[in-house]
Amino acid sequence: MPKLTVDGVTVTVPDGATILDAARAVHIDVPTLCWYPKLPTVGNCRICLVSVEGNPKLVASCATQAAESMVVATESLAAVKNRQGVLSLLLERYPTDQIPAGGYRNEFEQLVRRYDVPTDRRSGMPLRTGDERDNDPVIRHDMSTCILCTRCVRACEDIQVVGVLDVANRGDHAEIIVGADGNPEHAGCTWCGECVRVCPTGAIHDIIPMAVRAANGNMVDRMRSKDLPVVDRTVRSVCPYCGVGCQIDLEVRDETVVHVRSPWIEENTPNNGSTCVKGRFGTDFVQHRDRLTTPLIRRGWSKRDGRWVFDPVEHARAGWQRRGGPWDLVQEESMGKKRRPKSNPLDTSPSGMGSLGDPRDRVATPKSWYEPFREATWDEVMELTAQELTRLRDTNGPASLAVFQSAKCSNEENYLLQRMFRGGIGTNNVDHCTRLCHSSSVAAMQRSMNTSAASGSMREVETESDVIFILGANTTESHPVFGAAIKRAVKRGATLIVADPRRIELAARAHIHLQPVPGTDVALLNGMLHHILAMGLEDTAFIAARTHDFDSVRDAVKPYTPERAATITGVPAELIRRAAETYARGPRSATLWAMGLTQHSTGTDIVATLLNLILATGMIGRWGAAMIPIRGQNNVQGASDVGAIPMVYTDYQPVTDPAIRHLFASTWGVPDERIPLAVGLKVTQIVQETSPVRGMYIMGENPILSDPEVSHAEHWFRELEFLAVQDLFLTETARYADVVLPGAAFAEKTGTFVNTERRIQLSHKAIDPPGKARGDLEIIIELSNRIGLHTPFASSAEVMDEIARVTPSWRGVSHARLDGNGGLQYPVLNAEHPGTDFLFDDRFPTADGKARFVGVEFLPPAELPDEEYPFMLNTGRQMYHWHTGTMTRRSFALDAREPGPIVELNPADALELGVGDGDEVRVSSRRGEIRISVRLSTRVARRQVFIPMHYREAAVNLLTNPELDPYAHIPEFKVCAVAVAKATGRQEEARGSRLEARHSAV
Amino acid sequence: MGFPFKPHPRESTVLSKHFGEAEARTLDGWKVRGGYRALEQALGMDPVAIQNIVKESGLRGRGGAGFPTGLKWSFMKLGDGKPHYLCCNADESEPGTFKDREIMRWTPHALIEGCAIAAHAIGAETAYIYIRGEFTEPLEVMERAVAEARNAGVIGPNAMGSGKRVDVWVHKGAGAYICGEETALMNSLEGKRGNPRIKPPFPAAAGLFGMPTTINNVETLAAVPHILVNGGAWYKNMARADNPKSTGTKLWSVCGNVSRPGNYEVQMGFPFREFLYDLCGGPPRGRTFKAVIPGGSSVPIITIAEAEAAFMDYEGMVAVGTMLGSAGCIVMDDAQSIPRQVARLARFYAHESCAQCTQCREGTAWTTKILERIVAGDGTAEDLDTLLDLADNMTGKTICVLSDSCAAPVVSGLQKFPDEFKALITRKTVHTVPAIVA
Repeated sequence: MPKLTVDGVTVTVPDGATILDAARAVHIDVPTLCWYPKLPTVGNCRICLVSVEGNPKLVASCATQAAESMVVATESLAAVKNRQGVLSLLLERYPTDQIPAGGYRNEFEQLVRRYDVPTDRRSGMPLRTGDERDNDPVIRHDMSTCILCTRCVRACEDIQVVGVLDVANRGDHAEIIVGADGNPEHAGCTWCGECVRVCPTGAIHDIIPMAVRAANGNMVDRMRSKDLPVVDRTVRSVCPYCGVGCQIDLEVRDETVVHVRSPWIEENTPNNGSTCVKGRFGTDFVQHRDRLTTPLIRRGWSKRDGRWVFDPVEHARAGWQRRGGPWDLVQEESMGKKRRPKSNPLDTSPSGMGSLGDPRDRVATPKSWYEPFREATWDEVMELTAQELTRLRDTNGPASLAVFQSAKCSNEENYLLQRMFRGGIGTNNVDHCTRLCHSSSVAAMQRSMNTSAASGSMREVETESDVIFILGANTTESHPVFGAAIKRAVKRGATLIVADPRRIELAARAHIHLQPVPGTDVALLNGMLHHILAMGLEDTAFIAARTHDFDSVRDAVKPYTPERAATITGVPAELIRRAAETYARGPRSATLWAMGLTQHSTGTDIVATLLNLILATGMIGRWGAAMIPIRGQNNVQGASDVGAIPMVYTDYQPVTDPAIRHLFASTWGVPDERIPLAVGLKVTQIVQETSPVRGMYIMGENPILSDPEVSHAEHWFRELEFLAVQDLFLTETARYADVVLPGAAFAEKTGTFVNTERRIQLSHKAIDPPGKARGDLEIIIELSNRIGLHTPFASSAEVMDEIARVTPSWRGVSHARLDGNGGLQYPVLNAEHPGTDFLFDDRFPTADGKARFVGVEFLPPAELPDEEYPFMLNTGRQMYHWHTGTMTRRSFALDAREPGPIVELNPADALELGVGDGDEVRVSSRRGEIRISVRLSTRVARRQVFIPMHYREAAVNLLTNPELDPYAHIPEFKVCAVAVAKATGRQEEARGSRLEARHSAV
Repeated sequence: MGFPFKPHPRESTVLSKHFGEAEARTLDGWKVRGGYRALEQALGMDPVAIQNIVKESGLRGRGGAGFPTGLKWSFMKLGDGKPHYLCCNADESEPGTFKDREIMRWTPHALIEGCAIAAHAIGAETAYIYIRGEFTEPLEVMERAVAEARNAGVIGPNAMGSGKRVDVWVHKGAGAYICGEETALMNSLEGKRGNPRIKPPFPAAAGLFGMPTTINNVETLAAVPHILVNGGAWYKNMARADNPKSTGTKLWSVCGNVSRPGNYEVQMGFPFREFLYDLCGGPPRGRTFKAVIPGGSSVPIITIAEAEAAFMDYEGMVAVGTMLGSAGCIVMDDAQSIPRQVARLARFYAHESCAQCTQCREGTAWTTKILERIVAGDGTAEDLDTLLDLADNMTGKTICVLSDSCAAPVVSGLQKFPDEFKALITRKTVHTVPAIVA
């Protein structure tokens, strides 16, 4: 702990700290250009040089360790002279004529002003050059302002671990290059924008995709962010996409969110201010012209004698059947011609926005979809919705109503909505899309450890874990910021084991890649456990002290020798052994999984087997040995936590317990009997012919595209007596609604979200919702009051106070505590409690404090390939899109990157089928058929195909198998049998001759 | 003086004794000449004992900095459980220097032997010889010799039957001057861009692949076997009587306007005047010496008067305001234009700057631009101030000393030959060559 003096101030710093650290600790601003927190120090700009007493030369404060009794002068004559020298040298190749008189535009120009350096260029040296990105949809370069600080190079290499950028050439010819050929696509760019974030001059900047008012008052289409004049305000928000929970700063100008900026890297945020392409460039859907700005009521509804009635005749006058409209069913559209480009044109031409046009013009909601609706007032829609909900409750009983809540909405909104249906309607038919993602994880974790969330934190995986075992999670695409953290962990020296049927990016970086046949995870994991027991690598002390029923597992895994597991899974026995040993030896192994394990008809079994592996090796309850089911949506964890699932209230308190029911009923001011003690229906049970549900309220979900067997779902929703949808856009589901309530996007409301590591974070309102659209909380409050449930809240903060009162592990949570920091990881037991970064260090939250082993037998997936349907279909996400595409397909940058549906097909299979890259194929299953274009990819194994779930015009869920897991009722999205055939048509014929050539190129 | 000429009688040939003898390149030929006796002896010794002998000899780094070799070796913490590495810096790129080239061409086994001894002395099992990309012939010779030595078991897993592993690998550079800087060399060896690293950490703490590393010049390592065989005292005695700090023999590469350019091996402290006129044969007929850059292009220029008064060792060169450097002696006669020579040097540094540090990247380029403008007769008086300003900016402020090296000849040239610069500026004319004095 050296003690030194910086500019006369005495400061003690930790060992290894630099002079710069010491100066920063006492708020002395030493100028830096190449230095950036958390990036490797390269010390190349030489502007931070300071004087140290007794040292004849200036020293680089960023790279020199502070030493005992050092006396540092940061603004000595020599230091200042050097800084002026550095700045004037940099200015010699900088477009100084662009520096605004009396102002500055960036970090560098700020320093020029601070040190009063003349900006006349004397040397006649040319402006700097470098690789430009002239036609890039979002990231642009202006290398004349590059000062070669190389922050971007290191941000790309060391934060995002991608390595697109580098310095080429030497001397004064040195320049920043994009890959070897200037093509970001070839260099593996993911458009995360980390380079934009760190650039001190705006040489690398982004494009603001919407029209903005420029400094001169004119509206400018697609402005460079570096030219954006001062914004009105910056508001801290939480990214609306995945479960990593990145904090982002929204920049508001003219009441429009014009730009996303990173929080400062040293702030306490789960993402250290990093984002992925979606977080930084994918939030412009908020301003999309498709946004619903006024409530809509289906034509045919009218008010007669004080009551709303539906006149089918009037509705049918336009030629539509009940709930019909002038559109194709999803199945019809999926078979149709794709108007959009078949594959990413940027693949072939890095400079080709031209052929694409402006994605904003490819409007996702066709005009005709609005035709069956008329614009209405809020009073009308509220009255109609309240009337129909109470009518159905009173005539058909509360069980005839159900609500789909939203993993995209805040905790407060979700809490109030389940409160409305439980307390106001009297039904537990409350569920949301967790059913389709991690319900089987929750079922297995509840059974084994009575828990429903991750045991640890993301940052321990990054910094502590020795072994990282990832199963069925394409983290670098689905949770890119966490994916980068994992890549950093591997760089640090952690061993990575990936189990995934596809050779995803992490698999390519893994030390061991287990590539099982989809759906055979139980055999794989049992085989690993078999070998661990055979080697005696299990943690006997942990098993004895912390668990019971181990014998059930010992017996269950006995038959699964690595050889037998190899036969079932297709993974070589040797690899299974190596993975097992590596994992068991740890010493700290983190276990991460996602949809690849859960979306199976045996999803609960699969997760249970994984939990057996975790428990048998004691890889839980220690810092570094984390168990993390990676959550898909920004608030899927929170929505479940606040009771948006049919069997529990907040904090997973069972609805079957009368005492707990009493607590909630009394809090809500309703009689206990109002709320049934029976568990409600789940998403997948509601959308069934046999379900009693006649009326539905849907907030921010699009089940018609996200449910398995879309045709069935579409048909089912049309048959409802009443459907109300609260959403941002007229989605595939909303088009069938009686009432459409325009809600608010994430930027338009204040609320809290829970990320995948139990971190509750506060997101602030940046702007008002457009037109007559309202905050979702406001809508729910009014509706609750209208159906007779007293709901007196004026703000989401007040709602959080009620949640905290009824939720033991959130007792210490309040908006005031969450404001301006990294949030709190629950359990937060009281107002002083600091939160919990990892759980289960001494006991599990079960009755006896012990976890339970559940031995599991392997069962094959419900539908396997056969002669008729020889391919195995796998579904999932892409980097640039999100779920049913409601948001991402309305984002300029994201839609430009992935404009249309594709099927990933192994080139060898493609050759057999006689199709090439970009050709259209028909993919069919026993349930449906879609036309889709081929993307040749060796990521998929032979006889397997992968189709992302985001596209209405080729909806993969037309094909998927609705077979359910018996415990969690999660459908088998990940495995079904399909046939792939070349789509016939003249276009395809013409392509045939070029096929051979293309295949040899792959 | 090196092949094809016979050595001058006043030379002390230790390293250059076998230059020109083709047979010395082979293992057998080398053994006949006493080769590998030192290695055999060293492998039976305690590493610290070897270090002590080298310390006693007073051997200092021949790459330019002149750091005591034995002391450098003793920084390597023996038995720390980490792999140690020896790097041999054979990236001889300093303009005017060509001594290592001759060592490798003629006595490759001397270098291999030196590497093996040094590796053993610092607890390393692996030595890398990083050879300059342009050295095609030395590379071939070295690779052949290493293969021969490895096949004969002289080096390898059981070097000379000692049970100790000493591997020597030859790695070819790709033509960057900066890779002769020790940390850039390590980056380059690791497969990275050859940018110098920030020091500390010094190589002895974290060098090649982040492990403790010692890096020595070819000539330094080639001298080690002789020291081991003949003893530290023998080497130490080859010095100027009044300066025991510089010992042994030194190879001088002489080029430029002398009658007999080439490599000369003389004892430390040799009088420069006699060296220039007797050994090198003085200026070309009818010319007079004007200036000397005695230590490779990076050191300050001195006038011939200063040179004539100097002694050829580390301290002797410092005494006249320059440095021994790599002993690449560039001699200029009265026909040479100093501004033009300086401009040429600056151009070299601008081309070779790795482009990390601002001062170097921009400073070398701007300096070159100004100097070339002056040489072309388009300079202004203000340019001279700018040059000095720039030089000040470029000195002592960067990660490595490349920019200092660029500034040194500029500043010394301006100081010692200001009239030549001023003449070009005021007369707006190119340099005129004086007539030959009969």
